[in-house]
Amino acid sequence: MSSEGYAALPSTEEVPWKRLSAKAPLAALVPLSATIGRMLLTALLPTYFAGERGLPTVLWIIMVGIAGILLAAGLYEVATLSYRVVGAQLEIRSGVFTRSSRFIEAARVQNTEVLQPFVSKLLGLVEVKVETASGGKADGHLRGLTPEDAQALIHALQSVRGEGAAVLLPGESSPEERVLSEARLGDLLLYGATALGVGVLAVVLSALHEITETFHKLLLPWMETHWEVMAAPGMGWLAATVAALAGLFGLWLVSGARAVLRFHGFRLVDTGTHLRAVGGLITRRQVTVRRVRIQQVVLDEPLLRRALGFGSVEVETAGVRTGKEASERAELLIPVVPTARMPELLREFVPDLPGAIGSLPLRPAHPKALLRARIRAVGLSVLVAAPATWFWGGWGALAWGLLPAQLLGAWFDWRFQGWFITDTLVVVRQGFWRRRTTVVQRARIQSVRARQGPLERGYGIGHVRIDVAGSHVVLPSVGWAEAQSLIDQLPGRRPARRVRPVPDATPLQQVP
Amino acid sequence: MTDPLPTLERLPRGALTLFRILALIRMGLYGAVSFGVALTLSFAGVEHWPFLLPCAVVLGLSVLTAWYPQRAHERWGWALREHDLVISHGVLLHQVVSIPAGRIQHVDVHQGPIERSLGLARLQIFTAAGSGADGEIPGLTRETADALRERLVRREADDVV
Repeated sequence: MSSEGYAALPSTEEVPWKRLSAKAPLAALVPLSATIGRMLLTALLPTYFAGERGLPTVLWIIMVGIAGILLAAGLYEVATLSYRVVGAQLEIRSGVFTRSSRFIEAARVQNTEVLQPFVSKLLGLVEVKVETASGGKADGHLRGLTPEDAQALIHALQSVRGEGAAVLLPGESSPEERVLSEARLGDLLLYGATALGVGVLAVVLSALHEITETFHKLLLPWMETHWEVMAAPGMGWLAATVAALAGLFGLWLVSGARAVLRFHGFRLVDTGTHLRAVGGLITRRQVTVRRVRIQQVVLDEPLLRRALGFGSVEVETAGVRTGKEASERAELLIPVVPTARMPELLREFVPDLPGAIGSLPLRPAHPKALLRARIRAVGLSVLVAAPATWFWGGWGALAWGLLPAQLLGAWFDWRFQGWFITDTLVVVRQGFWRRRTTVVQRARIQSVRARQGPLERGYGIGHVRIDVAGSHVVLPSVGWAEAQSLIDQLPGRRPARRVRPVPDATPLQQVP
Repeated sequence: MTDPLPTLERLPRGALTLFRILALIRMGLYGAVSFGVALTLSFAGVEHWPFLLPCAVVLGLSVLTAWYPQRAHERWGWALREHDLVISHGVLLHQVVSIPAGRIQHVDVHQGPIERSLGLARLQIFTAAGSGADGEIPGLTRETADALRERLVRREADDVV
């Protein structure tokens, strides 16, 4: 059980149930429709390929029927949902015909999140998400609470845990709290411009495709009348350069817009026992993380951002979130932190850190790890360049230019990684192009594994993976004997206590 | 440097039989799939070489079946210590896992039909770290699996999540 104290609770045999606002189904209509729409998107794809004929009417009827039933079921659940904090638990009940109840122990709550999407804002409502360490999504998701009820709920959960932090909703602030970080619009645009993810690339390529399709008919007569100019030598290269620049500009625009949408007005405050982050343009989001639940902190500093003098900080609790990027999986992300302020901010999250990260005597990776990295670089380059040369001849042979680039990259990544162990922390730094420094609390380690692949066996090295709840980090390569001893040393030792004796336990003997 | 690992308990002889049966099943499965592919290719008009594919697959897997289970059996080992459970395994990718005792959330004991017929069981250990099992020991005798499970779950878990 948790060692955290519990406040005295009234005997709660008859604690009344609280209902969501009467406008809750209305607030849930848009997000539920969007979720169902995404689910049915795969089924709608054939329509695109079916061309003008489209899908048979009967299939449309079935699909619309399924969507309608799913939507009605979702709205029914919202309309019948009720909740109460009874004893040390949050109990959520929904359904009339089939009633389901969920119990969430307050002490197990990792973090709470208060959201105010656009429609909810119009209706004067908020959403509350309560996360524990159990699954890929929030264990308690209450859509359509009044701000007062949301405040009362979070306050009740905190009271049960014996915490008295002031509960505030998005947009509110308290004079006692200390501001740790804020993001201005210019910072966010810079953050967006330096974060070109695959998702953004896909959006921009689709947009370019649609634009080309749309304007093709309009451009064609102009192109035909200027055909001689268009076909002049060098115009192909010019067109390609213009297209590439336009694509890059589009990427920056989309990425910047995404950053502003997600973090507009971002503000991180310290309430003493909690860290609270608020931000977002259309959907206002407030995440509250309990300090005692912090598992690991990651400083994310890609080369471009380092050159511009900033990086991002990810704070992870055991709440399990899904997402392609590490920043999407982190419970709390501080998008823009000036490099000079990073040590100070890191100390706020990890007070045990003995000094600034830059001054820690990080141990380098094993020298033989460089050979392994070089072999991998050569293998990867051959895999790409050989088929390219086979299919495209001289032009394809240009792909062999990858080889020196990969070898150089391997050296940089090997040279700039390091690790360091203190009594309470493990610090791991990896990557040169995208430098990520992870600080893990040793007392939070769930398991440690030493691994040795066939190539590593040849060099007598191995690597160590540390798992904490909801995340993991891999140490740079070390000697295999050291890797095996690290699995013993790393977890913060807490002697196991036996609850009760095991008089009848079968002796642990293997049958030969 | 001395070996930092504790003395490990090895799997019983029956586990080797289990590994061999599983390898044979795998060989049959992949052989059938490659035969299906060869049949499809021959119907598609490719004449001579398609049936070399299942032959090559079965030949390769036969060598693997003769060699791999014995090696895997030698590599599996576990040790229950005061503060953790250590599991070591892997032929190509050698792996040693340490699961601190206080972090174990729950322990499962599985018995498939083949394991049941051999009187064996598979022990799976879960912590709060991820969605899957953090540690797994196949081919334990049922008695050992039950005793180990009992020892592991009776240790009080620290609330370190």
